[in-house]
Amino acid sequence: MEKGLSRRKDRAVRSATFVSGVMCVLALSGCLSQPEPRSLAADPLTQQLLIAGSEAFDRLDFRTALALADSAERRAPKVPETYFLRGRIYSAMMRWADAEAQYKKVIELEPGYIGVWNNLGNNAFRQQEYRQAIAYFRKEIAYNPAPIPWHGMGRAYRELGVMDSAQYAYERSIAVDSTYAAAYLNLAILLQDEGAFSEALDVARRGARVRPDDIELQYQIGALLMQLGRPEQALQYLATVATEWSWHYPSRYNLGQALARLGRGDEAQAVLKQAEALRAAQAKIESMEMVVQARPGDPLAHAGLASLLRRAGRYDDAMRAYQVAYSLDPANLEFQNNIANLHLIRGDTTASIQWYRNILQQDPEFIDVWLNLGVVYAISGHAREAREAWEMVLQLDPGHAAAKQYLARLPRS
Amino acid sequence: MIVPASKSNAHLVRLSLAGGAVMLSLVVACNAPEAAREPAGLVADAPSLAFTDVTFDAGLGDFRHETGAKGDKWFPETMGSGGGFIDYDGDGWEDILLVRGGTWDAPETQLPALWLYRNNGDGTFTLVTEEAGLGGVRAYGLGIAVADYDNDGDEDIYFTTLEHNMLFRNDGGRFTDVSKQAGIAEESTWSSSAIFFDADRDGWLDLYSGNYVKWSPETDLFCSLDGDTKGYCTPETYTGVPSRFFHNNGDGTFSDWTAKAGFLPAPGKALGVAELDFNRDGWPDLVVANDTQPNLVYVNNGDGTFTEIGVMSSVAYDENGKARAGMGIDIGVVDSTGEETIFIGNFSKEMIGVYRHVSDGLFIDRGAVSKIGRTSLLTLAFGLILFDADLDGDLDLFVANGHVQPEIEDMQEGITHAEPPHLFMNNGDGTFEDLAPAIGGPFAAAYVARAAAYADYDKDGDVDILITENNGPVHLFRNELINAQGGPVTSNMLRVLTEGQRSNRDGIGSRVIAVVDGRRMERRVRSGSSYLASSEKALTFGLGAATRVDSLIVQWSSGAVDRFANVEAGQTVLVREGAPELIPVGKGGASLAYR
Repeated sequence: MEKGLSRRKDRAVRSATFVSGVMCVLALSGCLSQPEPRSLAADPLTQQLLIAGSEAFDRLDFRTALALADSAERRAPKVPETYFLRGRIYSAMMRWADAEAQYKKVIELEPGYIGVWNNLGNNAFRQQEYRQAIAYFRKEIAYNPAPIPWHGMGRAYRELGVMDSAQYAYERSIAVDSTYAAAYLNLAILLQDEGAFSEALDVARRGARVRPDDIELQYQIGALLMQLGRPEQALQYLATVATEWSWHYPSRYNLGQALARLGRGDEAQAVLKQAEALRAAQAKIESMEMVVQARPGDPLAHAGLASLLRRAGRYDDAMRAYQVAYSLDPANLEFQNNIANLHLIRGDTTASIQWYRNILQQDPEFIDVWLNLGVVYAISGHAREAREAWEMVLQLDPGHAAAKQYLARLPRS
Repeated sequence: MIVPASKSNAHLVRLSLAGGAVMLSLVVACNAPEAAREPAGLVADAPSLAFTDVTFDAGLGDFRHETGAKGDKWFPETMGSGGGFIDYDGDGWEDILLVRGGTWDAPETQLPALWLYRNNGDGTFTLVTEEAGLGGVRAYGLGIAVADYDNDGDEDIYFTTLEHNMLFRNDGGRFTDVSKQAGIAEESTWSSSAIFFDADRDGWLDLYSGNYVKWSPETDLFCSLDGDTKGYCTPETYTGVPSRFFHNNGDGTFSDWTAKAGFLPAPGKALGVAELDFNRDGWPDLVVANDTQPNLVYVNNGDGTFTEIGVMSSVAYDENGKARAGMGIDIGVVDSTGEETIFIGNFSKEMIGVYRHVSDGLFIDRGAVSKIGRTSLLTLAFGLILFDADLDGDLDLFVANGHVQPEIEDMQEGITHAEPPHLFMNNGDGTFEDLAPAIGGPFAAAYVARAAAYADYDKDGDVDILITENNGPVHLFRNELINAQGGPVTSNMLRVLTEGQRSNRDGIGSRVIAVVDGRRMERRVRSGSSYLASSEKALTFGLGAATRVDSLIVQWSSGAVDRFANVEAGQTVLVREGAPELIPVGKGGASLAYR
């Protein structure tokens, strides 16, 4: 799952009106962290339903997660965990009002429920209601002085331009949990905006010491080294990020700038050209994100976004967007086919076969799905099943060139 | 840098005095030990900085920009309009030219598109649109560029519009539309800012005309902030239109050399354009601020053709490689490095871009470290101008702000439609401090500002500001700078006019250097810059307490260099290319005779 690209995403879209919500929906794990549900207090079966629902949510299967939450509610209508889970699902689907209603039910049942005020704060933040968000984060801190609401508060203050309060909040977040990488990152960015590059670098390095695998911190260090006029040192950090995140144009851009400043002009040109292509792709994504933000209930908008994300190689984000589209239009077999394809791209052949099979149950004459099913079976080494699938394609479309070609390549045995 | 250690504090003290507390000002001056350590003669008297909105007193109160909005939320309605200064009658007093905008009604029902106000020389202006021959102009107007393109000694007007742009030749104070015969009436397109500059240094001003996006009422798209109601679109939704470059043939006509000179391909969506010479080869380079597209840096190949190096130079994007919403632009030397710095206004939640040339065509983004970045993060900057507001010798930055979405306050906390301006005072070392809130007065008010221009319209020695508002009035902010003795600052400056002989008549592209006590101040004569605006071409050198300029050097675009020594402060001088003496220009009139 993509980490929270807090500042780059904040700045990513021209009209800030559209920005934060869309961006942060794509970055739930970092930019707007959601506390895990606390331990369950319901009866064992309800607990099982909620655990299953939470697992479905984690694998972005929003429909199943909602169905399980509904079941849990029917069994035990007074369990806050149910509403909390549903609130999280609705938030992920950008159904802000629905999410808020669920969280408020949690509060009715248990005002001090851990995470609920935080998540309300996140929702308010996504809707660019920063003062409201701060009030919610403050409430969360009163019940649960964790690093996450402090961090959220810092981000909201930054959006309002109250930088000293933002800095204080980030520092508190780190003081509460010195391993909370997101707070280091955003504190570093805040200091960077102020022009305090050395201090920002120090903070980013502290963060990287506790979270050496955090790619964003690696990028931040590289970018700060560039601003400090140390391109030679920046090079390794930026190259690492560019390798880890093939879609990430900022790292390539700065890498190109570093190379240019080191006199490696030809290499710089090549890398900057790559950055330009990635930037153009990202611009399309951001444009589509604006559409999604304006029309969160439109499954085609989510699917369009998913398609762009997939083409950019951001498969986790693409999967999330496809799942939202699917949950909004469960009868759409194209969405399901795309989800299956994405599972395949991500290497989960079992899931992709399940999805293809499920689609074919709904429409046994969906030629593309038979073709894809054959591909995934072939990749998995199941030649017989692959042959059956492709033969089915030819049964439905005797002249299908690809199916013929694939079949010809299959071993006879 | 004039006041390395104490200047910032001096500003703050001054501000507390602004508005008439002259006595306090004296106290401050007497108790300013740091000033004694400054380079001799530069900063003895800390002037008091204040501005007054004199729009109504000046007779400009009847002007109002029209967007034509009827609820359709058509994109162009948010973008205008332009305006600025022009000495159209050559009397030495800067007149004011304003773009009225337009309506969507039939042309015959519209009011004149350009409003020209003659400076009466007493602080007031008189509307002279009809008398000047501009009364019949009809268009949905956007911006202006002003220069003497035909080298006849008077200032001509290039007018950008939503359709066909227009060129008005000035014949002794009366304008004639020569668009068609001059060959600039290209295809109908939405244009923005433009600049006259002598690309090939042949003595004739060429024209770069910025184009924005492909839009018409028929192709208008539905954009929404809330998903339901139509709002104003942003440029991402429209296709950009490349800008045009017109070569001046020297006979009153232009040729479209856009491709020939290397300006294609280009992404379009240009909103600001300014000239510079970052590599100091004497050939003018160009920077174009693009909205949501990479900014462009055109380096002159030394023959009037250009190569674009925006991405490599690092000016194209922000520090993360992200294209911002480039609006207005200005360029100047703002610190002791002697290198030029590019300032580009951007959208809210985007810092103003501050790019200083380092070497070999590489720039460094100093937005954050200049202290401009964070302060400008929540405002949407359109027009921005570099000028020496307090006459201390370094260039300060005024920024006209205003959002494009009237509903933004309902949609996003912390951002407003009308926004106060910034006045970033230069600490002399390339760092700035926004003193607009402390100065107060008209700077405490919020505007939906677009163009910003400067001129010493009242000839009191300091530089005044003009801003336009979208769907609103124009504002003339008189600089009330007073010296530490409570008097005018006419002795704290040297103003320089240029008149080319081999170079173009305006002297555009000339690099003018004033040396005072070993300190170099550099200015460039130019048109364009800012957003849809035109500022005076006279250069103002703030001298602090210095009584003379040790050396005044003019490097003309022709390559000629004129040098003058021991130039007295407190005057306006005309430098005529190749002439052995400076020509004093009196307050009552200029010596700029028509050819």
